[in-house]
Amino acid sequence: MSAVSAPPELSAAQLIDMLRMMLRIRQFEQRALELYREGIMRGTTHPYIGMEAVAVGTCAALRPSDRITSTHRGHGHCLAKGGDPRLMMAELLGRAAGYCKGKGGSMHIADVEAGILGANGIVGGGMGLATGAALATKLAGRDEVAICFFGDGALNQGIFHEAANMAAIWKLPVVYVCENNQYAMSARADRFTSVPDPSVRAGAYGFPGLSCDGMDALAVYQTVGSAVARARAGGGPSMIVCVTYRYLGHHVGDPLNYRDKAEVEAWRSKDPIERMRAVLADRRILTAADADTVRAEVEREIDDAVAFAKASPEPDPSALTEDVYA
Amino acid sequence: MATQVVLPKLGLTQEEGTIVRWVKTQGSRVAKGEPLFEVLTDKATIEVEAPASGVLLQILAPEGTTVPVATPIAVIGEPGEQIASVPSSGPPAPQSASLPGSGTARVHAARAASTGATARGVSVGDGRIRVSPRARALAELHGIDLRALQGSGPDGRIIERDVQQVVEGAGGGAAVAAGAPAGVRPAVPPAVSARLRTIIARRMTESLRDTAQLTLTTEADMAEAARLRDEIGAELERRGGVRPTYTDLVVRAAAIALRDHPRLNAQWTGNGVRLLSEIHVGVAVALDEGLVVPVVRHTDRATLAQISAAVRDLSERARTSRLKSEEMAGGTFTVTNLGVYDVDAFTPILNPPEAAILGVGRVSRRPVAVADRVEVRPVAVLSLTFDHRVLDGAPAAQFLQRVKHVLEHPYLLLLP
Amino acid sequence: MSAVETHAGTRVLTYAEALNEGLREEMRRDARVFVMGEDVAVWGGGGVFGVTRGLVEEFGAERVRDTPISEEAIAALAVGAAMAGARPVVEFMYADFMTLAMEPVVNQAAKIRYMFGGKARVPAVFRAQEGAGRGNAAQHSQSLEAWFCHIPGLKVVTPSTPADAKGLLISAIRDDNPVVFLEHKMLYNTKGPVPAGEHAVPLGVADRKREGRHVTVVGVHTMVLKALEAADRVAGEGIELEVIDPRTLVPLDIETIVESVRKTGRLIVTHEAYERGGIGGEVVAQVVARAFDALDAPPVRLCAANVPVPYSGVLEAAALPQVDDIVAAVRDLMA
Repeated sequence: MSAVSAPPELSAAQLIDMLRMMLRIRQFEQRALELYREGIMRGTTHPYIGMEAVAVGTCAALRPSDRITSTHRGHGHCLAKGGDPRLMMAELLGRAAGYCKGKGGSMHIADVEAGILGANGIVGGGMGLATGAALATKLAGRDEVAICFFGDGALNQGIFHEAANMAAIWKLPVVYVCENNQYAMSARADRFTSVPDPSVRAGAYGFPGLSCDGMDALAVYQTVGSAVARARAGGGPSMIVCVTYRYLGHHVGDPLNYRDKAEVEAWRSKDPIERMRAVLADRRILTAADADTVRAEVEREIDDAVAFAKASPEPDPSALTEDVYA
Repeated sequence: MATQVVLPKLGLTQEEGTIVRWVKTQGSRVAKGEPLFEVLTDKATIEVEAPASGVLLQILAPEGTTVPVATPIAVIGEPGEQIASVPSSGPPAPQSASLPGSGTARVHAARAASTGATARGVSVGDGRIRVSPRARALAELHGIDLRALQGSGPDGRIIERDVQQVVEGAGGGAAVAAGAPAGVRPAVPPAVSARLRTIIARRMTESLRDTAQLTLTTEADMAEAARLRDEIGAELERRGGVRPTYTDLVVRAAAIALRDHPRLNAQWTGNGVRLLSEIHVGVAVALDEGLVVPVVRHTDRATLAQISAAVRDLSERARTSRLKSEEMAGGTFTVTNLGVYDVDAFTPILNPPEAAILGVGRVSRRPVAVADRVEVRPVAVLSLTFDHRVLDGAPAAQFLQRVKHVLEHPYLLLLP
Repeated sequence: MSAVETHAGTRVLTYAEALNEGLREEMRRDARVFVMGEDVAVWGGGGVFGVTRGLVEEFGAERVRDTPISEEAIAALAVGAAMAGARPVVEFMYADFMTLAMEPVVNQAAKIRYMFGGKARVPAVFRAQEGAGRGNAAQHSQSLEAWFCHIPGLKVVTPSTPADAKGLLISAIRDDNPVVFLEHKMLYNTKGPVPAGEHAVPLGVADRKREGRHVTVVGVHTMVLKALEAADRVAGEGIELEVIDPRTLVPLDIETIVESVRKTGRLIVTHEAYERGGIGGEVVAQVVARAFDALDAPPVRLCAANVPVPYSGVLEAAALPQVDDIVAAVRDLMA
């Protein structure tokens, strides 16, 4: 494991922003579930609740010009990278004002200008894209970094191995952020992944692999931030496994017959938002009352996003054949 | 070089013929001009002479088979001879080198199982006209009747060159209908079929020239017929049937009268009268392109409701050019109605080889003497043209009288 | 014919040399263009078929990049790089190997623009060579263009001449969409005049390679050349073939084909791809729908047999449509 430089210290304002972002993600996901259950959202949605520290800790280490690729469980990544909740919510409702004009939906929200190269409906689909974006960066002589978020299920897709190998031989500025939320649909990570700590797989390709507490945004920030700094400095790729948990099912309607309630409760006791609140309180940055105020603000913001989405028109059928080609 | 014997075209609208009898047997010697076989068209059985001298090498169409006109049915030649190729226009026929079995063509044959081969195999004698879309469009443009064409394409398909030949032969083909407004919609295909017009012209001239026809008229009181028509019409419509027209009533009346007066259901054969055993009444239908006469088969055995349905169906299909040629062939008597055009009486022209034709004028309310009183009654004039070669005036008049009687006592129309 | 601008005259080049020239000119013109693939830089001086020969000397190993044997990643990295502002031209050594890259090509490249509401573009070129004729057998001889034609969002290019190879490759590189650029292994050494300098052949414009009145033959790749040979053969019989090369299958210039069929009334579509589900059926269907009344005979497809491409020379030739097959089909149509 080569030495990596630590990321910059976070300011009080940045820490409050991280708490606010985690609250925003959770609130967004809860409202999305409500919309789904009300029957006004189509398809499905994969809630990010419980995993907020990974997206927020990672994106706190990024610049606006850095890029991410996301997954089917992508709302958190998108918000953390600067996505607009109003445009996201409108997209969930398939409206013309949504990020993708209603053509993408929950699994395909993208904002290329903001460095969000898209959520992806294919498990592992973002691995090659992030690696390719890193290659373009390197070819252009820029110092942007690409982050590839992926789940533990994608560890066993062939593309991971092909892309990781290429990133290594070409020292590409890409960080593979594995969100090990313990389950690939119903499959516990230890059923189908050959090693208990998948970060060791990075060693097979000759670049650093680290694990961190994915329920702790600051731990994620420290670990991913080091890898980002390394990549930006030309040190090549890293892989970070963030050990986390999805509180809810794979998607709405998951029977959840594959895990205990006790297990869920144990993980809930490590809730990343509560943890951040405690840190802010300990450091006398934010009182509990102030944190409640932040939460109320975020709730209003998401209410506004829902109202915006609902008020947005459906796409005109004439848009059907638009944007197939540039 | 051996000679192919093809089924000859013996009538203007003939599409096919049935081999009734081979006069010569396969393998026997035949001289040009000798009777070779008999063919049944929808008009008559005709004896056909051998087109060449030689040995009847092969009979391709055995007795009883029905084949389209121009289909090879036999080969005459000397034993061992090749059959002369059928001359074709346009680019030359395929060379033997391209036939399956030689060179790489085996590849083509093997792979082409799902391409060229599937284009073939339309069964013979199904009544369909095989025609390429391009040829059909060209024929429509020039008002050419496809039924009159022989296809030179695969399996006798009419293709562009077949139509093109007619167009060129006719000096541009399409004649503009007399009386049609000039200069209107010039891009639209002319409504008049030169081909159909030619056929009608020839047949009508032949009719007037070759027969001894004259016309009798009488007036029929249609009051009862009108009542019957209204009452059973309403009931038939309620049952999803067709309300009878006056024409339908006359067709039924004529069929009943023909049964009683078979001399009207007859033909002049050149050396005598041939009474026909079946009654098939044709009904004249006016189309833009000209007159066609679809036939209600076994009219005397059909109920009024069946006649109404059949006439409706035939005339609708005539108007949409969906009549089959056989549906216009084989009539023994014709009914023609010009009443819708306010015509009272007229002299119909015989439809050869039929012996009689009955014209129906309009049903109009006129003052009529009824037992010394003048009453206003719905009446129609019936005009019967008949061939004096086949029968004389008195039997024709009796027939007409019978028709009049049935129409004036229309419950007779309902008897079997 | 499309507009052909020539600044420095026209030379005779091979198809491979013409592609090489097109790549070289675009790499000089636009620093965002880079080439990536298996053995595109070192082997034989550039590319198993020589298309990228000499490029690494001029542009360096960063922009002319040999890759591991990882087709899925090659395609996926191209998509990501294109989204991030580069203009990759990636090479698959054989079109058969693109089956390993279908996920990024079909699910990512083709979808991204539409799925993201028109707010992203993927200007990537996926080059591959396909076709049979050299005994490469079942896994190295397929013509798979129909796979890609089926997917909205991809463009599919199939040049048959050196000039078109250069001109279409230049247009493909400049296009802001993912383009599957399919070359043919038996065409690489064919020669023809190629305009020097700027020569862009627009995508979606068919080329009438020969005019004639009697039968329209639409050919793809080598079948264009075979159709031209067949045209020479039947010319002596008074039969004129009109040979049309669509050049791009997506977008397909159906108008030019329909216009030709309106003239001839007869259509043969011929390609080396398997007949079943091939582009030939699509061409026939579109012609029948648009010009039914123009047809004087049922359209004919002459395609590869619906079998894996065999190794034996006898069997391979039997599996592919040949000049004799075109001639025989023409004579059938004209009989």
